[in-house]
Amino acid sequence: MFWQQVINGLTLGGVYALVAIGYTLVYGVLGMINFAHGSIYTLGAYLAFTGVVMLHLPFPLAFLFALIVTAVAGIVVERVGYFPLRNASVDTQVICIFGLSIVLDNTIMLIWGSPARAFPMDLFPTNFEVMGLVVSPVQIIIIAFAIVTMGLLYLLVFRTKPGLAMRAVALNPEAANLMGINIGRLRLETFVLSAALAASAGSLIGVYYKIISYNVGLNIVIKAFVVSILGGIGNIGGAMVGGLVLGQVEALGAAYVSTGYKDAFAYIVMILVLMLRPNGILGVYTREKV
Amino acid sequence: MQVEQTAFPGLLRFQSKRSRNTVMGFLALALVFPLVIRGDYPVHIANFVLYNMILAVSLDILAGFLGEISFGHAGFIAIGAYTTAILMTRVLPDVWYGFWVALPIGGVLAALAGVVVGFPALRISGQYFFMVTMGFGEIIRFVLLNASGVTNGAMGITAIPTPSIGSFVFTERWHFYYLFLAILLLTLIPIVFLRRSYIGRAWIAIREDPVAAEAMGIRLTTYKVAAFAISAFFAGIGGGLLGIYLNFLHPSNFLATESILILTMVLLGGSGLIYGALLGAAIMTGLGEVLRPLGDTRMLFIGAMMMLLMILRPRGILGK
Repeated sequence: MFWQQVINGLTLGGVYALVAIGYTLVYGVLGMINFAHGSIYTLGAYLAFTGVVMLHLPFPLAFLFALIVTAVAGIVVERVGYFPLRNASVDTQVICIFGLSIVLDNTIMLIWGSPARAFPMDLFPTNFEVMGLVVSPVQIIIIAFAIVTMGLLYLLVFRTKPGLAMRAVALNPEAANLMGINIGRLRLETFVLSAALAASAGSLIGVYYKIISYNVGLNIVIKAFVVSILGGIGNIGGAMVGGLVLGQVEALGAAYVSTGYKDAFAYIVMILVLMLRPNGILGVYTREKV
Repeated sequence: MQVEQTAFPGLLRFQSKRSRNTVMGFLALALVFPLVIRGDYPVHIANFVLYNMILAVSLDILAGFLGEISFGHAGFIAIGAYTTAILMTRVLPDVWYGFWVALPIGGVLAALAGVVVGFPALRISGQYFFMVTMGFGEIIRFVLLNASGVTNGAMGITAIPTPSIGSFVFTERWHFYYLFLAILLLTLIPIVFLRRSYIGRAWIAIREDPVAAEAMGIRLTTYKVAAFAISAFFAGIGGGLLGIYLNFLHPSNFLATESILILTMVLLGGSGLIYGALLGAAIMTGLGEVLRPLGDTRMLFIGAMMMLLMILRPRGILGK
């Protein structure tokens, strides 16, 4: 029972880490709270659904389709909702981006309908047993994908020139601009990368639970935020650790405390972290101190 | 800044003859509205306008005066609504004064929750504050959904009695209209009062520059927590009206979206002005009704309007 929940938590945690890395990248480079991140996640899930159910693509192709279309949508979203407000106050940005997420959620609802949609049950081979634990192939795919993606992102951010530019902009946008970094383009690229990460998480969770609905976005944003503060905002390694921690808290909490409160654990973790370790569990320095 | 030591400057003092005439004119219009406009539907909409006005004005204390954008107002409203409804159905079901006892208790409990949220607000800001307030609102909703023994959980509270005064029972829509209008005035008067007192000036000072305000001898803790408590109190009172009007309460009445809609009302009209919040509540409620034939597409327009507003007029319609 316990180890079964640990595996479930690991799966959830991998997905949360993917979502949170995108969220924290946008916060670092654009300096904006990405309230629409959850809507983009939902869009990714619905596009994967379209690929599998309507276009009859095999899952890997549907997954790629979801990633590419979401990335293109990310370009539009960044130019419409984020770019015009780059110099506005935080309150203005937050309300505008919130409006944008309402628009996205409801567009999704208009296109795909408001009832929850289900993935076919026979998309993946059946579950198998390892040492008394039931493991589904989707869980293995999610965990493997999360590990590989996180590794690649780590290399991107810390070992390449665009990554250096991202870190420079996060540290000091004006100075970075003076050093010849095209901030407008970098913001767009970061946003698109974050949108693709959200879409991958959305489609993986979609095939894991086999059911998707249009109004989960806000919940996902909050989880992304909780994971980010667990690891310290703007800290990619921290987001990975934070994702795994939140995944375990939710899986074990749902199993041993109460399933009704499953989504409330994230908030409780958030309040505890902000009270006790405002710089995150890794205790590293962050730009914006609480 | 010279801090006046009089706590209660003249409340009925108007800045100009014109502003007095405007206020009196709107008051007169509001008083005769249900007598002139007959029919249940317009009065029903007007009731929701008044209800949203109470909530928007209460949020204006935080968002406008203190400059703390809270995303958890639905939590305070829910506490007021559920407390009033539970007291009326379980504790005082058969007495005429049930509502009049339950409503202030709901307000006080919401105010206590306001104090609890207010303390962390002292240490955090920016996105942390948005998320903590939103988290608070959502935790309240999870408790309402899961503590079925008290709140009836996902079944919601049904058959909430209507209020009465002695043998007079509020039954018609226009009865509720005057009840809501009276409570709106009872909300507005203390808030205008507070805004004009040294307390209101202290809030504005904190909004403009917390460090300078503190250097001037304004205790940040006291004034911030007081703002949260007062804002939450009036939100709780406003929430108490929802149950008696709809006769039904459900946790989904208090989604995070509700907090955002009320915040949008305040920002739409112009925050910190009081009349901005009133205008915003009237427009948003009216817009919701006008767009009702669009059904599910309605929220799309409201979201798009929020975006356009923030891009074109970030300080609101009446804001400078």
